[in-house]
Amino acid sequence: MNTTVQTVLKLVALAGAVLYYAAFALSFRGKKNKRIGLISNLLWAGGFAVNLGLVAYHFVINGYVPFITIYQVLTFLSFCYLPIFLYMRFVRGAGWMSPYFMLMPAVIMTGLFFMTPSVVWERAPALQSVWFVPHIFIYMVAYTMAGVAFLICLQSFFVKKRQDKERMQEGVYDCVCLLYPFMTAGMFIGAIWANEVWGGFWSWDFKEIWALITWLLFTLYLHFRREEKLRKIAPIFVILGFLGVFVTMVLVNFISADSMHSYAF
Amino acid sequence: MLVGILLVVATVASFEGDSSLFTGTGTLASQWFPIALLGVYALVQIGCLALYRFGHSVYKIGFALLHLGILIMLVGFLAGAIGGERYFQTYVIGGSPDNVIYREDDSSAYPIDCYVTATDFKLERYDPDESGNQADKYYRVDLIFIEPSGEQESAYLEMNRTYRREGLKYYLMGYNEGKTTTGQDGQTYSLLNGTLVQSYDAQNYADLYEKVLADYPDTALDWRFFNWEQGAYSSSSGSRDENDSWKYYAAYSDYPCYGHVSDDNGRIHVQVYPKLVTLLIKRDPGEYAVLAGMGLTVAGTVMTCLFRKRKRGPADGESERKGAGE
Repeated sequence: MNTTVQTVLKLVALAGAVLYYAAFALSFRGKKNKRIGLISNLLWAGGFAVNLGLVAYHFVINGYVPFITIYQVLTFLSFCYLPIFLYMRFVRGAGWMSPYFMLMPAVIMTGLFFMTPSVVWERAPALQSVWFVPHIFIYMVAYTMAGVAFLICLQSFFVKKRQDKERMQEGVYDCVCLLYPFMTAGMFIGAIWANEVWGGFWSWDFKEIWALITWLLFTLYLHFRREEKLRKIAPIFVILGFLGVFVTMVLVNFISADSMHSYAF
Repeated sequence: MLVGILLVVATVASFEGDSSLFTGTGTLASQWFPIALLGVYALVQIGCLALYRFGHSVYKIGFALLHLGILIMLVGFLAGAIGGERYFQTYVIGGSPDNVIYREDDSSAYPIDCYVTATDFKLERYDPDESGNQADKYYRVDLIFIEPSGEQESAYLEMNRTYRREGLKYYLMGYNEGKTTTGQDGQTYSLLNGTLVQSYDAQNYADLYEKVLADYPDTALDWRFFNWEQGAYSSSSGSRDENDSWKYYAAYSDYPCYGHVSDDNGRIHVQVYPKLVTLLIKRDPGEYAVLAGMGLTVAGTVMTCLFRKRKRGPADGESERKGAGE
């Protein structure tokens, strides 16, 4: 890709990040002032439109779903936040979570600004599978919720008002309840795919292990949350679970070059 | 507790890497791991069934399905670990049919009830990148299964496409297209699993050319030899032994591939490799149980997590908390 296109893509990512950050910053004042709330939402929509443009650009260039490099996957991940928020808002009645849904894509888009855009689309034969798109897409939904759960959980540690704390913990539980089926399905679809390509459901590959660790951490959260006595410890697993997501998605690619998932970088 | 133990095991395994006690042929790969996991998990679940009363709400049915699914999945893994087997076999394209495959763990021969031959292999590559490397785009091998009665059955394997026959599942795991890339050193041979198909002794290139041509008269005559005089060779890997400077490599335009090395007497030893494919052949009696378990588990998580009643907290109403996005 020539440097001009790279620069333009970086600037577009930066513009998206700025819009998301602005929406996030105004969202707090928007709680009391409807007009500011509307501006915040418009900025959010603007950020989303820019994000959509990036996803669409990669889609057109690739001629296929842009899931091949970590850059493209992160672009799609930040894109997922608004649609999933709409689900949370209208189905789960969790509209108060909007600032968290604005901040996470802003952070991701900031990361994209510092990355080198890539549009290389040479799918390895193993990736030319019907399981490829569902595997990534489902995981992206799960990771979206992991990010929001992490932010709410983190903030809840610093909230003193009992009522707010309880609501936040309930919100975290809501997020994990949405992410858990997706994370489970994503992992199993990956296993089924591996069985078709590599001849085994599970090979203890570095990325697979960390995906399992992440899943186990959220499993522990759900188990601990069920017990009244252990409930206080449960949020720790959400924090660790999000770190697990980060390791699985990004860090593994730097640590283990000989991973069977190395083409996911 | 069990989840915690598994978490610790997985974390240790991730830091230990390939040399880990857990991976490879270690604990996690042995049949004892799923046995232990299944045993403890089953005990925990039976204990829970004895202690708790389960109702009939979607949530509770989902909860039961989720844990039952994991149980069935572990049973499947166990069946695969105990009754399963993995084999390998290399087939030369156009070679004679063979009814023997080899166990992965001890390389012992295992006869199957039919003869197998590979008739064709196709490979497509992407355009070269900036470094000149060409990634694989598509590959496929055509096979014929020949029954002892003489009855033949055609099949093909390609990326993401396996073939099931008589309880065995065939995978295309590796290939050599009978061609080497210029400038590579002797490691090219490792692609061939060390299978030496034919060798020539030749005094010089002309001699070699005549001998090879006599055996492969139908191939095109577009020879491309790449040879390096002592000191003139520059390997991109930089790992070339200076004392081994009289190495010659040749790449033929189509088929087959020749790697040749001159010895102290100036004779050229040529190794000829044809197109060949390596298949993984697997028997996994637990495969369907694993798939069923996975399906139940996912269904269980959906019913448990998405169909639960939402607790509405005290500050969860339409209060002043209403903000942007609402």
